[in-house]
Formats: sequence, C-alpha cells, structure tokens
Amino acid sequence: MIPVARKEKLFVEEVVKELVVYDQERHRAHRLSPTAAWVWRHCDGQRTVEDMAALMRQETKAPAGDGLIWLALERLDQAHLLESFEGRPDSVADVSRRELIGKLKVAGLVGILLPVVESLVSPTPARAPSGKK
Amino acid sequence: MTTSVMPTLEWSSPRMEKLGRLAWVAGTAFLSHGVRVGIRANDHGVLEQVRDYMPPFWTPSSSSVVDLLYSLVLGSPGRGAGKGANLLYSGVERRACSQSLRYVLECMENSLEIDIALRAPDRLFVHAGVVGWHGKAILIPGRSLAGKTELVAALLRAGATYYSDEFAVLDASGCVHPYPVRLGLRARNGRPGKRFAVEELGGHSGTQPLEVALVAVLKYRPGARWRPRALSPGKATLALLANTVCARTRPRFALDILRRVAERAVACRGARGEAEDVAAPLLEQLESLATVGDRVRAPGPSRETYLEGTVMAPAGSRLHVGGGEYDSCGAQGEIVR
Repeated sequence: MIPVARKEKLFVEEVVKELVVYDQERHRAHRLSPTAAWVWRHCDGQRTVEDMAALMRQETKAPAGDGLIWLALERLDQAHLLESFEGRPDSVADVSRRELIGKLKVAGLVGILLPVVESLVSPTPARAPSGKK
Repeated sequence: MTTSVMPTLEWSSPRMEKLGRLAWVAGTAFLSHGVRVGIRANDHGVLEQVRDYMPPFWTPSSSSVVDLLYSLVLGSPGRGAGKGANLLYSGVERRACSQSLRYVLECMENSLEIDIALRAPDRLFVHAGVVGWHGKAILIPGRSLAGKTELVAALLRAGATYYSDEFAVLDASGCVHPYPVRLGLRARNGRPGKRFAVEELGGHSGTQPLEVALVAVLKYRPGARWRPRALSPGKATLALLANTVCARTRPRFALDILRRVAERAVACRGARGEAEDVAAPLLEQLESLATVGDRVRAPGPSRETYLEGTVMAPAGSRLHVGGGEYDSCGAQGEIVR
C-alpha cells in the first residue's frame, strides 16, 4: 500500500509545525497536527507505510510504529486529503485511536504524537441582519 | 453628503437596465476599504438619512462608476400589499422590502458591510470584537449572539481602547485596523437594544493599526469558571477562518493573513461567565504577555515539534492568559498548563 497525497484544489498554509489545508472543492478547512502533517507530506507515492514509520523514527527519534501511520492515513482519508488509499489490509492489526492513545500515554507522548485532523465547513458570508442593529 | 453623482456599474444586464429606468433623482458615490460604492434613490431627502448607515471611514468619490450599486425605492406606488413599501436592491438582487424605512436602511447597512468585506482588495474582515491595550490588540472572534459586544463594552469600561464590535479588519501584515461601529447592546430578553457610540460608554476609539497579541475564542456560559485553554497556532488559524467573511471566496488570501496573526499572537479558548469578571484579567494577561516578549519558535525537531495544543514562549518564562497560568518547561521551550 503506497498512499498518495491529494494536491488538486487545495491551498496549504504552514502554521508553525501544523498545516492548515483549504479544500476548494468541498469548502472545508482542515488543521493537521504536526504528526498528521508529516505523514501527509510524505505520501509521495514512493513510500510504503513501513517506510514512513522508519523514516519518522529516524528523523524525529519518536517511537513511531506502523499503527500511528495507519491512523494518520485514516484521518487524512476521512478528510479527503489522499488521492489513493485502499485502507488498512486485513493482515495489519487494527489499532484503534483509543488503543494508540493508551500506548502513547504510557510513553508520555499522547499530546505530542497523536495524529489529529480537525475540520470545519467554511462559512458562507452572512447576509442576514446581525440582529443587534 | 454629496448628491451630485449618479452612480452606475461597469456592467449591465437586462434586469439592471430595467431597474435603471426608474426615476432616480439622487445619488452618491463613496470609497470604503478600497471598494467603490454607489447609492441612488428616487427621493432627495433619504440620502441625508443614509449617512448614518454608511461604514466607518468612508470617503466621497467623484467617480460615478462603482463596484457596488445600491438602489433605494421609497414608497413604491402600486396596488395591493406592496403599496407604499420601501425597497432595497444591491445590483439587481432585492435585499429588503418593508414599510419601515429604518428597517430597510438597517438591511442596507448590513449588506454594505458584508459586500465591502467580500471585495476589499487588501483588507481581511473577520467577525470579531477588538480592543487595544498598551499598543497591542485583543481579538475576540465570534458572530452575533456570541456575547462579544458585552465583553467589548466591559473591556472599554476597564480602560481599553475601542477598535470594533463587528469586524477585525486585518491588513496584509496581520495588523488590525479600527472599524468603530456603534455598539449594539442587547436588552435582557436578548432583543436588539439601543446602539451606543463608544464615547457614550466612556471609552474612546483607536486610530492606529495594532499588532494582535491575544486571540480569545470565548463562549458565554452563565456561571462558567474562567479556565481558558491554550490554542496552537493552527487551531487559532482555524478559529479565525470560521469567522472570516471571504473564507470561501478568497481562502488563499485569508489564510495567508490569518497565519501571520496566529503565529505572532497567543491564543486561548474557553467558556466565560459575566463579561465584567473576565475583562480585567484579560487586560492584565495581555500586559504580562507584552512583558514576556514575542512568541518564539519551537527550538528544533525534538519533542515540542510534535506538541499538540500548546503555545510557545521563551524557556523559563511564565505566561498568563486570561486568568489561566502556564509554566514554561525550561529548556524545551514548551508551555504547559
């Protein structure tokens, strides 16, 4: 499984270590936590999930496993930020968010490594009177 | 106000031409935030009243060609239910129809604000209350009924400088400019109440652009204890985008400016109780932020690189945000609650 990040009709803004991605097609904005942003940037159609996990460990010295990368990919796919993603194969153990949080908690890294994709629907310009006037 | 200019749009359409055939007897053109606006009416007297509903800092324009054209039809003659109704058009789109001229003019004011906010070439309009304090600004994003007017009024009573109760008007560098509309405090039943000039509340308006030092995403909840949580710059950007007028039409422009604001400001989110209880602590915390200094970047690709939901500050410093206290983790440069 080699994931590929979607590039079309997206505006990407790097905000310190996070990314804010605006989807012009769906008019949604997404905030990618540093881990989710790292994974998304490395979905270049060249690396497997295992490659990414190894690279993350190497680059960041963080105890990143395949489960973390899979969870990030699932979050990114839900936000329509991946071009190709076939989902986690049956042979790979399904690590839920809760399980992963448990593991990261033990390592004291839950707030640091957990991949988060926070989304909002872009607001339409309000034309109605504000009510205060 | 000049009534010598009869404004026209650069473009036309069959519907626009039809509307143009009405007997327009008075018109005016003005500039607001780089947008050329025209108002025409079928009555001479109404343009004097229109002045009260125009956006802050408008300047007269001698050009008759405009980007936005509002048409006011007073007491339209006819039969049936529509007889005597006042009509408002923006371009060919009807925005209001009422026997009450005041209501129609209020609709015009709202439409003008949004239309200008959508088109302003080098300003970004974010629904927010804004006050200044010792050369820095607090930005309180939120739409109507979020309780921002009460908080802005309380901050003014505590000595802050008024910038806006409606929009944070941001320039390309992320600085906020004054947009001093009158404050509309609600009655106890939540209905719109009287509108006050800031001077009536004992305050004064700012004149210079300010750097945003604190973004406070607050929600009123009766009896809530003031325990704000720090927001990461990315979260702050998203919170501001949720209140940005042109988020859909000019997302790239909006994000570029919001990022600048979020990277330099400290941001927090939380429920607040009564405005009076929050105003003084917010100002105190803004002052202490100024003494802490500018936000610093994460030192490198270590733990803080992956830090979620935190703010950055110089190592060893203490940071206070609206009554919440944050301690630096020393060399890591992290701030934890």
